[in-house]
Order: sequence, then C-alpha cells, then structure tokens
Amino acid sequence: MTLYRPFTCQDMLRFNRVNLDPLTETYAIGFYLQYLAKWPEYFMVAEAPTGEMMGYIMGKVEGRTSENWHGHVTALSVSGEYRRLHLAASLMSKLEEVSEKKRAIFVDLYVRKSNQVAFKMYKKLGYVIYRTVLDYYSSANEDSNEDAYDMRKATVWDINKTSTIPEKAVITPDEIAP
Amino acid sequence: MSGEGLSSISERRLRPIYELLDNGNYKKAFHEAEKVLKKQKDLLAAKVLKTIALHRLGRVEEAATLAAEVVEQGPVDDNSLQGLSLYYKECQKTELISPMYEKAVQKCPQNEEFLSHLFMSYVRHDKFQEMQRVAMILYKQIPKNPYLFWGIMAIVLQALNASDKRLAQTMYLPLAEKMIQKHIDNGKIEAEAEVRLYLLVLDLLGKHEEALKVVNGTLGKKLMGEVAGYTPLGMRLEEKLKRWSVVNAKYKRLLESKADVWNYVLGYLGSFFNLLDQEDPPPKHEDEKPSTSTAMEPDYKVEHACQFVAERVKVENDLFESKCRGPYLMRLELIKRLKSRQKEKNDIALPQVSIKQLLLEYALDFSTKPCCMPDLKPYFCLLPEEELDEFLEELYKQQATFTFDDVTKDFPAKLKPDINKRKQKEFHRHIFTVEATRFLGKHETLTDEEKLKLIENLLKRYRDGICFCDDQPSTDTYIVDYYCINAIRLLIDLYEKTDDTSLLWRCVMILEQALKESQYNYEIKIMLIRMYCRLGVFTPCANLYDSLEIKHMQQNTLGYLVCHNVMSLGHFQPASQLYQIARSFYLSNNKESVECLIACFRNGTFQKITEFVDYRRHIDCSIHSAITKTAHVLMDFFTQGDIDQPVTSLLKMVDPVRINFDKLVDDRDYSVITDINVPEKQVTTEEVAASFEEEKSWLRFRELLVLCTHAVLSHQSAPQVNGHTTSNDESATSSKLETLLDEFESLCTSLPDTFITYTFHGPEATPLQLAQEAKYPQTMCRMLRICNMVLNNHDDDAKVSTGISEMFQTITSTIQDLMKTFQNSFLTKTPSTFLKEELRNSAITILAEKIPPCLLRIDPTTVKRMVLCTEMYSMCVLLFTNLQAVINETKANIQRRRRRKKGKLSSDTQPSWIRSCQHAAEKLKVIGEEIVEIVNKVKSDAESLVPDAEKSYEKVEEEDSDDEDIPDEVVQQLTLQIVRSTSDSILTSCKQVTNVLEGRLKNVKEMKF
Repeated sequence: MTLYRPFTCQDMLRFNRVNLDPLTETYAIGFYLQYLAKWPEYFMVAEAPTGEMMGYIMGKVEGRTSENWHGHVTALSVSGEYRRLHLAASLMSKLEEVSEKKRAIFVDLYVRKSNQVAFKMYKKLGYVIYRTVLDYYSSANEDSNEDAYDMRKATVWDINKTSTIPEKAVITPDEIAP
Repeated sequence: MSGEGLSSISERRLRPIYELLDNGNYKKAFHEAEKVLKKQKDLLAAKVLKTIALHRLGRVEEAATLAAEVVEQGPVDDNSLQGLSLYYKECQKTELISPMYEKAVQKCPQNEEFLSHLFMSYVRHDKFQEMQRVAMILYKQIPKNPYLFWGIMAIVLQALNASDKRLAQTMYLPLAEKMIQKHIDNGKIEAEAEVRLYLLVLDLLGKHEEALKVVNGTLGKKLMGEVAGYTPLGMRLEEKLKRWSVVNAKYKRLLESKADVWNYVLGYLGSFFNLLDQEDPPPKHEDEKPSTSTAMEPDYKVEHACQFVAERVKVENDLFESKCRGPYLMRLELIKRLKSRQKEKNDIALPQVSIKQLLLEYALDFSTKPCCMPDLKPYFCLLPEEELDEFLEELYKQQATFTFDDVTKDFPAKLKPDINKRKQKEFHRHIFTVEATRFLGKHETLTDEEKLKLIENLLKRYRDGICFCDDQPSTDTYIVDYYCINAIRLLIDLYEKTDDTSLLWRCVMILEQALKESQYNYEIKIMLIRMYCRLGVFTPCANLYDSLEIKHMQQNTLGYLVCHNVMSLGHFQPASQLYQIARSFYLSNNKESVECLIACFRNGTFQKITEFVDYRRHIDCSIHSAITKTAHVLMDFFTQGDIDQPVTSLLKMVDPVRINFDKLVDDRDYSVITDINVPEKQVTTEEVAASFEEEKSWLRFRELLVLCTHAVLSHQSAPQVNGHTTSNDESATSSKLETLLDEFESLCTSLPDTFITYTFHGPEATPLQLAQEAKYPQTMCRMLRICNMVLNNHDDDAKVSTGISEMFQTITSTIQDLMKTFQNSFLTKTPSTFLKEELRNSAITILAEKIPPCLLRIDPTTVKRMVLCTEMYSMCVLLFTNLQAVINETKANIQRRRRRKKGKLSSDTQPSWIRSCQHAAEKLKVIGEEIVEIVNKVKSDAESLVPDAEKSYEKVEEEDSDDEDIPDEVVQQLTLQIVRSTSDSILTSCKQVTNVLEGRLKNVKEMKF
C-alpha cells in the first residue's frame, strides 16, 4: 500500500531511513534542488500509510539529438522495511511513463556490477546491458573502484529498438557523451 | 547600444587565466593577470580575474578594493560582469550584484542578457517588486513567454508575501489572473509551466471551478507531469469543490484497477465519510450524471463502503501469489475510521467483524516481509483489550506451524539457498510475533527473570540463525539482527529500571558482535553511539558516526547524535571538525538553494518556487545550525584563546547577529531507530518539543556567554589612542557589556533546574543539567561582573576590591565543589550485582559472558564533570587574565603621578583592588594545579584499564579452565577492543583538558601585578 507523490524539499529532512542504506548516496543539497528545479516530474516519493518514506526515484530527461533523447534514472532506493513489495518496479514504471510522455527514445541507468539484486531486478523489468563502464564508481581507495553496467530499455518511440544496440561494449567514464 | 564583447586579442590573453583559476593555480593566475594588465592597463576583465585570484589567495581586502574600483567604472562586457558576479557569490556579497547590473542596464538598456541577470540578482534577495519591473521591461523588448511569466510569478510572490492578505486577494492575484487570461485569449500559451502557474493563481484565488475547466479543457492536455498513482489533479480540484459523490465514484473506479495505491484509498474514504455526513442519497450535480451505464455509483452508507472494500479483498484473496497489502489495509483503515466516528458522533452501526481475525489474517499473509510490523502498528489499537491475549496466543500457534526445526546444520550444499530462504522467512515471522508482543505491552508484565530468559532466548536464536543469512549481500540488513535488537530493547527496559551500567556494557558487547557480522546495519550503529555516549565514551562513536557517512542534509537531521557529547566528553579536535563541516553545510546550502531558485525561473518550474523559498527560510532557522555555530565559538574561546592563538584572532568569529529564538526549527530525526515500544513509552512529539525547549535554554545560555565574553575581550582590543581607549568607544563597549550582562544574569536565574528524563532512543539530555548542578551559569555571571567592575568602576577602589574578593571566594569554592565530584578516581562505581544475582540460578549462558570488572567500575559522568570543570576554569582565567591591561594602565597612572609629585611624600600606593586581583590569581593558580593533578589521576586510572581487563581474563582461564563460562576467543578479543577504545577515549579527553589547563596556568602565571 503506497502513496505516490512528487518529491519536495521537505522530504530531504525525512529520507534518512532510505539513505542510510550503504548503497544509497546522499548528495549535496544543490544536486537534489537542481533536479527539483529542472525535472520535478522525474522525482517521486513512495510513502507508507503511516507517512513514513518507503523510497524514492530521482531522474531526468536529456539528450543532444532526438535519437539520443532519453530518460535517465539517477537514484532509486527503497528503505529496508519496505523491500520485497515490488516498490522499485512500480517507481521505475512511473519514471518510464513520464519518459514516454516526454517522447524519450529509451530510459537508461547505471548499476554497480556487484549489486546483483538491483541488476536482476532491472533485467526483469526489461533492461539490457548496453555497455560496461570501467571504474565508473570511484572510491577513496583506487583498488576498490567498481565497474558499472550501463543498462537501457527502449520506449515505444524506438520502434526498431535500435537505441539498445551499443557501438562499443566496454568504455571508460570519459567516453560517456555528456 | 548593446553590451560590448571583448576583442579577440583580449579574449585570447584572458583564456589561460580562466584555466588557471579553474585548476586552482591562483598564484599563477594572479601573475598572468598582472602581465595582461601591463599590456592593457584598462582591461577591466583582467582586473576582475585579478580580483578573483586575490580573493582566492586570501588577500580579501585587496580583492574588495579592486572590485570596487572596477564597479566604479561601470563595466558593460560580459566577462567582467560574470566574473564579478562569481566573486560576489564567493565572498557572499551577492547584494552587490544588483547595483552592478543596474549600472550596466542603464548604459545598455536593450541588452537582454543584462536585464535577465539583473532579474536573477533580485531573485537572490527576494526583491519581488523589482523582479516584476525588470521582467516586464524584458517582455516588452523581447516578447518571449517566459519573461512575461517571470513577471507574473513575481506578482504571485508579492501576493504570498504581502503583509496585508486583502491586498493579495484584491490586487496582486487578480492582476496575475488577468494577465494570464489575456495571454490565453490571444492564443499565446505555449508551455506546461504557463498552465501550471495559471492553476496556481486560480488556486490561490479559490477559483476551483475555473481551474477544473482548465484541467479538463485543451490547456489541460499540456499537463504532462501527472503520473499514474498520483492523486489526479482534476480530482483534487473536485475535492476542493466538495463534489463528494463524483469524487467517490471516480476513486472507486481507480481502486478497481489499482487497489494498492493509498492516494486512492484516502480519496475514497475521505469522500465516503463526507457523504455519510450528508442526507442520503446525495443530490446529483448537473454535470455529475454518469455518462455511461457502467459508471460507478457513489457509496454513501456504511454497508456500501463495507461491501466495496470486501469486494476488493475478495479479488485479492483469489490471487495465489504476490498479493497486495492494499485491500487488507483499506479494510482496517475503514474500520478504524468508522470506530472513531462512532465514538465521536454515535450515528452509525459498526459492522460486525473480528479485529483479531483480520489481524491474524494479515500476519498470515505478510509476516514473512519486514513491512508487516509497520503496517499493523496503526491498527493494533483496534484490538479489544480482552482479545489481546487470545490474539497473541493464536498468533504464536499460527507462526509455530512455519518453523523448520527439522533443518540441521548439515545438509547438502545444493539445498542451502532454498533452506536459507525458508529459514529467513521463518525468522521474519517469529520476529514479528516478538515485536507484536512487545508493542502490545506484554513485555511490560514480565518479571526480571522472565525478561532475562527471553533475552537469552533471543540471543541464542541470533547465534543459531546467523548461519542462514550467509548468502545475503553484506550491504543488506540481516533479519537475525533483529533478534539482537529486540534483546537490546529488553535490556534497556531493565537498565531504565535499575540504572545498572553493566546492562549497557552488555548491550555494547552484543551490538559490537552483531556489527561484526552485519557491518552496514545503521540501527546497530546508531544504538551503539547512544550507548557509548551514555557510558561517557566517545572514541568509538567517532568511527561509528564516520561509517554511517552522515553528510550534507543528514547533518541537520542526525548531527544531534554526537554534537553535544563530542564536546562535553572533551574530544575537542573532532568537535571542531564536526562543527566546521556543519558550518560549511549551512553556508553552501544557503548559496546553492538560491542558485536553484534561479534555475526554477530559467526552467519555468514555477510550482517549485514557493517551496524553495520556504525551504531556504526553514533551513536558515535550524537549531542545529545555531547550536554548532555557537558551540564552536565558545569551544574555541576556552580551548584556544591565548593558548594556541591570541584571543583577538577569535573575536571576529563571533556573529553579531543574534539568534532569533522564535523562529528556530527542530529537524532532529528520531525515526531512524524503529520504535516498537508500547505507545506510552514511545518517543512522543511532546517529549521532542520539551527537549527542543531545553536545547533552546542551553543555547541561550551559551549565546549570551559568548557575547558577554566577546564584549569583555573586545574592551581590551578596542583601538587605543596613546595607550588609552578612546572615550567614545569605551563608553559604547561598556554600555554594551552592561546590557548584555543584565540580560545574561536574568537568563541565568530563569534557566530550568528540573529536567525530564527522555525515552532511551529519544532526545538526549543537554549538558545544561550538569551545568546547573555545577553552578556554571552563576559562576560565569560572577566572573563577568568582576570584569565589568574592573573595566568600568576601578576608581571606586574599596567597592571593587571587596567585590572581587567576595566573588572570587564563591567562584573558587564552586569550582572546588565540582572538583570534589570526580577527584576520587573515576573507577569508583560499585559494580551492581543485579545481573549477577538474577543469573545465579538460571540456565543463562550468553548473558553471563564476562564483562571485565574494570569497565563496570567506571563512573560514566566523571569525564563530563572533568571537562565542564576545565571549561569553567578556562573561561574564568580567560576573562580574568584579560584584565591585565587595566591593571597595567592603573599602575602606569600611579607611576606618572608619582613622578609628578617627585620630592613630595607620595601617598599613591597600589589600589587594593589590584591586590585582590593578585590574590585571585594566586587562587586560580592553586586550583588549576589541583585540577591538573586530578586529571592525572584519571589518566593513570584509564591507563590501567587494558592491563586490568587482560588480567581478569588470565585469571578466568587459570581458575576454571574447564568451566563453560569462559568466553570464546572472539568474544574475548572483541571485549578487549571495547576496553581499549574506552581507555583511549578517556585518555584523549585527559590529554585535551590537560592542554587547556596547562595553557591557562601559564596565562595566570604570566600576569603581573
């Protein structure tokens, strides 16, 4: 049972139980505010009937050309207490819905290679590995940098699903087009 | 005329400087700028880059002068203007950006770029009227839609911020509406943002009918931000119009397709209860007639709603797998609301349902998931008192059928994943029963022995269960951790009853062990921080806090976990770091949030603008910001002033702007620890509010202490003319000190002296309680009075002299009283025998694991007392030694007079107040040395902890080598690690206070009379 609504500034005061998860990053204020200012429809909260935050999804739509115009998932996290309820899937489908309305060709996201739970879920939702980005997740200790899978799912606007076919299977972070 | 660009030559010359600045090579950037200026001495853009370089090199004043010089010449090239804007942002003088662009616009009135920058500069400072003016100029010159809507938004902001609300409704908002209306009539609306702003204006005017027409009309098609699952915009408007029957029927339709969306449930139930209030059947609205035959009929009777909900449940029940919680929770919510309505109005017949049965059904379906407990928490209260025991009994029976006791640890490896999965589900179910039992108050009625047995049982289940979690990723929380956490809850019950610290040490040991297995469990970490702080140990907290990676906004909501203890336990260096990080968070928040407000205008997300404005105001008033800022300055005063660095360098850190206590907000988040105590024992909002008041009192005290100290210290550092402070300055500062001191004294008499005890995981007591016990406020009042006397009335010798003697007598005896409370070593506590006796006759083994006796003897308050004593002493000395200048001056005057009276018999001797001061200094010296001595004793006790603990283990091994009670190697190592960090923590505190005390002693000894 979930209440869905747009994320607001005040939610940053209440997202601790979601963000204390070790795989969820807490960004600088400006980062969240910038998303709220530019893509408010891409930033959604799931709330329990008690008012507690269950999770949220944060994303954007971007691309230089119409072939590259796509939705992107920046962060998706569900608090430990509300896992195994398909909440992440439901938030993803909402983000896809917004992306289709915005005529995005595909939706993409990055996931840690080691995060098998997330990876399997995205696969189940129809995302495929578009390419691997080496050392995408940097850490203080260089040895523990981690690769990311860049995963994609075509929307209805990509009739031939060409957007999910990569030019190169493995790239370095500086090869990611801005 | 438009803004002038730079010539390509200039551009080329400047480019490398930009790069140098970007790369942090400020020195080189400065030199390069100088070089360019030699070639083109009037190139303003180069001067601007030089300004930035100077500022970043810390040559702040030169930068400011140069910037002013450039602005004076009225630059109209983009490079200079942008560069100066950047500089002003960096030095937080954004208020200077507007006049700069005003000048530029005067010179180039047609320049779109300048006008839009001018607009944004007004946005930064909430100058709504100016925003409107500039936006309209822009729109007139360049008729682009966004400019018009900037102007309209500026009007809306004026309406929202108008002190006269009538003016908003009769002038601003109608104006905004008319402007948009005209725009629509001209067919010029383009973007979703424009429609949204229109809807915002209509909403503020209460014109929901019109708004609904917009949403349902052609303009509504532009609204793309509506997402399935949100409450549809049109429905929200219909709710505002109270069209309950339409709304109810529509929500029914939505719930039929998506029964798991709480928005729809709230909408359905909300409209249903409104219909219940009306006469039935509800009158039909003209345009509400069902358009098709399949349209829903609204529910307006209790039986309707019950039937509708029952249908939803039936649909869900028919599913085999992945049932949604929605319909079941909707059923419980309906009953809850019906019951409360019945209680209030007594006008309905309640449906005959067994709450017990409904809760049991829910548990059957969902207790394998972690959400079961939080889901049911709001509905347990529906259970009639008399059914409570039955419910729990049946729950245990129900859950017992799901245990897999047949699973031994030796099974084929290929079965492992499946067995793990089954076991984890079983744990979830069992933990649910434990937590429900606690929540329903059944742990309260257990005897101490029963509690200990239950704790033992839970810990045993933890140890037996951990092997079934080994396939979970380490980043996940292990379900078995909750066995430990529930054991801890029971141990805390016992601790709150007995005040026996051995129970807390036991908690620490259990949690540290659990953390070794499940290294990312934040609840364990936070619980540990709270435990260690209660035990007066900080070192492990620093590491735990670091590993939680609390940053940015989390400092505001979770910084409370350590912000008091880090200082009151004498860990000044980490305290300084923490306060500094908090400071930079609040500063950057302020900066970033205003830039993002600008982004809202640029992106046309008008609906977010008021939200951003409110948010900025909110964070600016956060109490954590005020606390960390004040604590930092005060700490620097007593740890550094004239010890590490001259006090004069600290004076400018004091913010002359007073804290606005009426506006402070409390963002501390206590929900991070799951609270499943009985409702009476949960962290309540009243408790949090009371703690907020206590925090404010403690903050008021420190704010005034800082300000008074600042006033005394600046008295001495005021500019002196020929060795004398100028009379004007002197009287100004002394009257300022007088006023502050009066305020401080009256505050100190009104500070609370009784304190409430908070829930263990709720708010923490502030250091105010100890400060009151130690008479810190009174002592500081006296000390400041002395200073004031000496600074202002040293002509009235007799009065000042007795005043000093008397007051010092009290001050020194107060400090000595405090010293007495920790002088007999901190290992004074008699270990409680509570646990020992309880355990004697029971078959408890895990709880009986040995805690080194030395830990049990630690008095957790010793370090805090020692630190407070140091703080008090240090502040007194700091203020006192600052009187040296007055003493010198008086003595110099006597000398002069003597010289003048040469030949005659001199009657001018040293005034007796100076002698009183001399005595006071002697006393301070003696006391200081005494404190150092006591600290040394604490230090040697702390050093003895680790060898003691090691010895206690050796003894166990020798004595009963085949006793089962010997803790295993791992536990022993872990315990020793706890002892080590405890010892380390106390030693750090000792070292830091010794530094301060020795510095202060040196200051006293250097005084000359």
